[in-house]
Amino acid sequence: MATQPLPIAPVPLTVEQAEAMSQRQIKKHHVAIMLLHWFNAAVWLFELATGTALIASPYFRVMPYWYINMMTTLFGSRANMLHFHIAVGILWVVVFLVYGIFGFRTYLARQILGKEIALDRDDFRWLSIRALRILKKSDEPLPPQDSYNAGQKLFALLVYAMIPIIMITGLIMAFHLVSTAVVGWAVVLHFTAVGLVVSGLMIHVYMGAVFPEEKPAFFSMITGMVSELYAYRHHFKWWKEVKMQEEAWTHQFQGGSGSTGVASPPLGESAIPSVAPEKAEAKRGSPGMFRRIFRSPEYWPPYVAGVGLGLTLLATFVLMGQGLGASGAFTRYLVAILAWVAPHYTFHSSYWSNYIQPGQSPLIAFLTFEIFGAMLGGFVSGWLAGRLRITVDKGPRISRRTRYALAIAGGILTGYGARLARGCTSGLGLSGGAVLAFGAWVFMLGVFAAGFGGAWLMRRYWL
Amino acid sequence: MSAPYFQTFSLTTYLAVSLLLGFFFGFFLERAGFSSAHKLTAQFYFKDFAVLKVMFTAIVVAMLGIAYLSLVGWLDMGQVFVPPTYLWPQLVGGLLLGAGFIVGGYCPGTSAVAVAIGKIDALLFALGILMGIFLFGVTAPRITSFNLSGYLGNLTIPTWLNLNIGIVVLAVVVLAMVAFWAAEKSEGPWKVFARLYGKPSKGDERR
Repeated sequence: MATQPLPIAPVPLTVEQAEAMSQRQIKKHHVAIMLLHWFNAAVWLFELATGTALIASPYFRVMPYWYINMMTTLFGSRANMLHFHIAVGILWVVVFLVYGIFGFRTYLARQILGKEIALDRDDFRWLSIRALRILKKSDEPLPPQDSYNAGQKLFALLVYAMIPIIMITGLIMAFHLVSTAVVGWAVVLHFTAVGLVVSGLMIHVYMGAVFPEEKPAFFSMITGMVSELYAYRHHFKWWKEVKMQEEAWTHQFQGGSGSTGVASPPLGESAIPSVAPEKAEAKRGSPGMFRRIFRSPEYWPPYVAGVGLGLTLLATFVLMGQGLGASGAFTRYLVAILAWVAPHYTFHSSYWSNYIQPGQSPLIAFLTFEIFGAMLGGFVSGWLAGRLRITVDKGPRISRRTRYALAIAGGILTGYGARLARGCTSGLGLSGGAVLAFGAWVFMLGVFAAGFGGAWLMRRYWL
Repeated sequence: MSAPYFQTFSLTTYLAVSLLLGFFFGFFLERAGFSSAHKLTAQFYFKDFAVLKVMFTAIVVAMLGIAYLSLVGWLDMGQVFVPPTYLWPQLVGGLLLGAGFIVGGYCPGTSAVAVAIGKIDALLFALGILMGIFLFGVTAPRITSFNLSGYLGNLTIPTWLNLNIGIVVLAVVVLAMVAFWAAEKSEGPWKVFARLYGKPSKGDERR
C-alpha cells in the first residue's frame, strides 16, 4: 500500500529527519478524553485528600493525626467532609456512567478494551526488558509500542478493574446498602482498590509530571498533540498506524500518487528492512490473552502458580481457620469405607474412632470436600491445557508393571508417613509452614532429606 | 467481624466453600505442573526446582498475609489451627513421606490432581496411600509411645526462638529469596549438581 515501505522497528534518524519530525504534530487525544482525564484527576485529588482524612480508625489510618485534624477543621466537621467526599464521588460515578454508556461503542469496547490497552507479545517483552534495564542487567532495545506503552496499559487495566469496585463499594458505604456485613466488606474492598490504584498512580504522576522523557505525554493531555518524533521514538507501532492511514487517505484522494501530500516518512532508500504486509499486525488485541494464559500447554511459571496457591491458602485460613490438606481427606475416605465394610471394628478401634462423630458421616468435613474440589480444579486446568489423557508417568527405562509396583509402594510409605507426621506436604508442610509451626519445618526437612537421598537410589527408575 | 469465618457458616455453606477452595487448590497445583510425577521428581535430580519454588512462594505469600491480617486484628490467630509438634514422629514421618515421594512420584495432594487428569500411576499411588493409612491405623496402638514422643504443643518458630513474629517472617522471606536464587542457579549455570546424574534426559520438560 505504501510507496515507501515502513520499517518494522525504529531505525536511527539523521539530525535533519529528527528535526523535521519534531516540528510535525500528530493528534493523539480527543478533546473529550482530555477533559475526562483532568476531571478524573481533580476527583482523585479531592477524594484522596478527604478520604484519607476520613479514615480515623487506628487499624487503617494512613495519614498522621495533624493532617486529619487540619482537614476536619477546614471542612468544619467530619460529617461535612464525608458529605463532600460522597458528593464528589457521586458526581464522578455519574460522569463515568455517561461516558460509559454513550462512549461505550466508540471508546470503551473496541478502542480501549479491545485494542489500546490489551497487552500483546511485544508488551510482555517490553515489560521484562524495561525491568532488566532498570536493574542494569540488559541493554536490549525496547520493542516498539502502541499508542500506550505496556506500563501505561498495565496501569490502565488496573484502573479499569478497580474503578467499578471503588464506585460500587463507595455507594454501598455511602447509603448502607444490603446489610451491615456487606458494608463491612465494602470498606475493606474500597480501601484495597484505592490502595492499588494509588500505588500505580504514584508512577503515573511521576512519569507524567517529573520524568523528562515523558514530558510530551504530559503536554499531549493539554494540547492533544504530540510531535511525530516523540511518537516515532516512544510509540512506534502507533506512529506506523497513523502513517499508514495517512497514506491510505492520500491514495484515495489523490489517485494513488503515493506519499506526495503526506509528510513522507523519514526513511530514505537506505538499508531499511522492508516490510511485507504484516500478518503479525492482524492478530492484535485481547482474544489471545485467555488462550495464552489458560489454553497453552505450557505450565505456569512456578512463582505465578505459587502466588495463586499461596492466596488460596491464605483464603482458606481466613475462611476456614485452617490450611489446605490432603492426607486427612484420604484418611476420612478410608474410614468411611471401613465403617461401611466393618462397622464394629471401626467404631471400636482406638484410632479410626477419632474420625467418627456420632450421627455424622466422616465424609462431612472440610478436607473431604476440599480434595474433591481439588480434583475438579485439576481436571478443569488439565482440560483447558489439553492434558487430559489416560497415561502412565514413568521413567524411560522401566516397564509399566514396575512403575505400578513402585507407585503402590510409594503410596504405602507416603500414607504411613503422613499419618505418623499428622499431615502431608500440603496439610503439614504448606499449611503448618505458613503459620510457622515448628513441627512443619522439621517435617519438611525430613521430606527433602529423604527425597534427595532416595533420588540417588531411585535414579535408575526415573532417569 | 473478624476472621476466621467458618463458625458463622451453615453446613451447606461450609461444604460449598470447602469445595471452592479445593477447586483453586487443585487448579493451581495442576497449573504448576504438579500433576506429573516426572516434573515432581525432577526436583530431586536437580533439574527442575518447581516444587521448591511453588511451595516456598505459597508459604511466603500465605505467611505474609496471615501475619499482616493478624497484625491489623482482622484474623484472630487464637481461632486458627496451628498443627501441634510431635518432633520425632514428624521427623520420621517426613522421611517416610519423602521416601514415598521419590519411590512413587507423588504426594497425597498432587496424586489426587494427577488422577483427575488421567494418570494411572497416580491412581495406584492413591490406593497405596489408603493402604499405608490402613497400616498405620492397625499398627498405631503398638507404637503409641513413639507416636506421641517429642510433643511440644502448638509450638511455633517465633515462640521457640523467643523472637518477634516480624523478625521470623522476615527471616523466612530472606531464606526463600536465597533458596530461589540457589534454585535458579542450579537450573542454570551451576550444572554441578545435575551432573551427578549424567546428561539431562529429553523428557525433562514434557508433560
